[in-house]
Amino acid sequence: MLLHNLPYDKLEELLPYIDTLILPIGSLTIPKQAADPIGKDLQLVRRVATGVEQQLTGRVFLLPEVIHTNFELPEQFGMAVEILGKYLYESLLSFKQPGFEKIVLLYGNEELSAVIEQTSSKLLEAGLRVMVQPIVWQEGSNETDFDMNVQQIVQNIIDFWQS
Amino acid sequence: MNDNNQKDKEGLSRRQFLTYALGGTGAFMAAAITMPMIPFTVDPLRRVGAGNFVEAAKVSDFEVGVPKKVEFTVHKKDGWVESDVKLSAWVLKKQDGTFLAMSPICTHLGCQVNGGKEGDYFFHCPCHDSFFTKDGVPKPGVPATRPLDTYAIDENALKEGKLALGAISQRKA
Repeated sequence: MLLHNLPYDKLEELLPYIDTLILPIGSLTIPKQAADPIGKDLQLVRRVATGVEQQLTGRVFLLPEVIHTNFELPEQFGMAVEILGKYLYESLLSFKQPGFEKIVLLYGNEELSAVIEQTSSKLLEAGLRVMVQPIVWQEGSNETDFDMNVQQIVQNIIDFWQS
Repeated sequence: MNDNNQKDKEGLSRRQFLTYALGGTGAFMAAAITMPMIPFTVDPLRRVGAGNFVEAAKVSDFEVGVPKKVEFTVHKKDGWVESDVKLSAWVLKKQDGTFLAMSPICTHLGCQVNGGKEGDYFFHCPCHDSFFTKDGVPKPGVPATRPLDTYAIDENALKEGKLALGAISQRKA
């Protein structure tokens, strides 16, 4: 379900059934291949997150995506990854008190792996269960591959629940 | 001639002329507002009609007593937005040759059920552990209390060996 769309009374009614948050983390960078659109990774993460949420809607809340921006032209500007990590940690920790114990971090840009893993470790220490899920997308993949990707992530989340 | 003119003058006074002119203009404006609304009123009724079936599979694809998942695409038009929506159904061919096409959406909180479980309960919802029989009836005591929703099946298409699915509807608990 989409957390930001729910009225408060409905949220209270659903809270006993929902224990998992999905946070898509997209990145906005200059693409490595000139033909690719800016923000391709962001679009992919958003689509995958939506596909996963549709299949597990009764037990997950899909949070609005966090967008990391980093450009290098000719000087580097954007958000330092440390700030991204700090933001992720503090915003996700605030969900512990209402009862969200499980968090799924979805991301597509492998350059963010390190900071997301670090944040995941800190959240684990704070008592939350975290699943870090990179989205693998090969050039030339089609819609069927996309569906399979979503299906695999859905299965990974079910395994995460059962572990 | 003069008499006729006199009658015309008597038949259409200035007051009447203004009344007709204003009334006619008002009626035209009212029609201009309401006419475009008529298709919006009629369209939903038309959509419910018999024509809204989508071919999803062939009748020969199914074995008696074994639910099988089929996927199909529905073309949706919402205002100026047109899109192809992928849907799926679990289809059961019964002993008497009739078909039951069930939605894969759990009736508890909307997760997708998985099929293929062995034993009395063929479907399982991974979110809150609801179980359903091959007919989509929930196991007593699980969070889901209603059977899986069903798609309408086009009987005419069945005679031609095709399984065509239509509107979805709820079944009572």
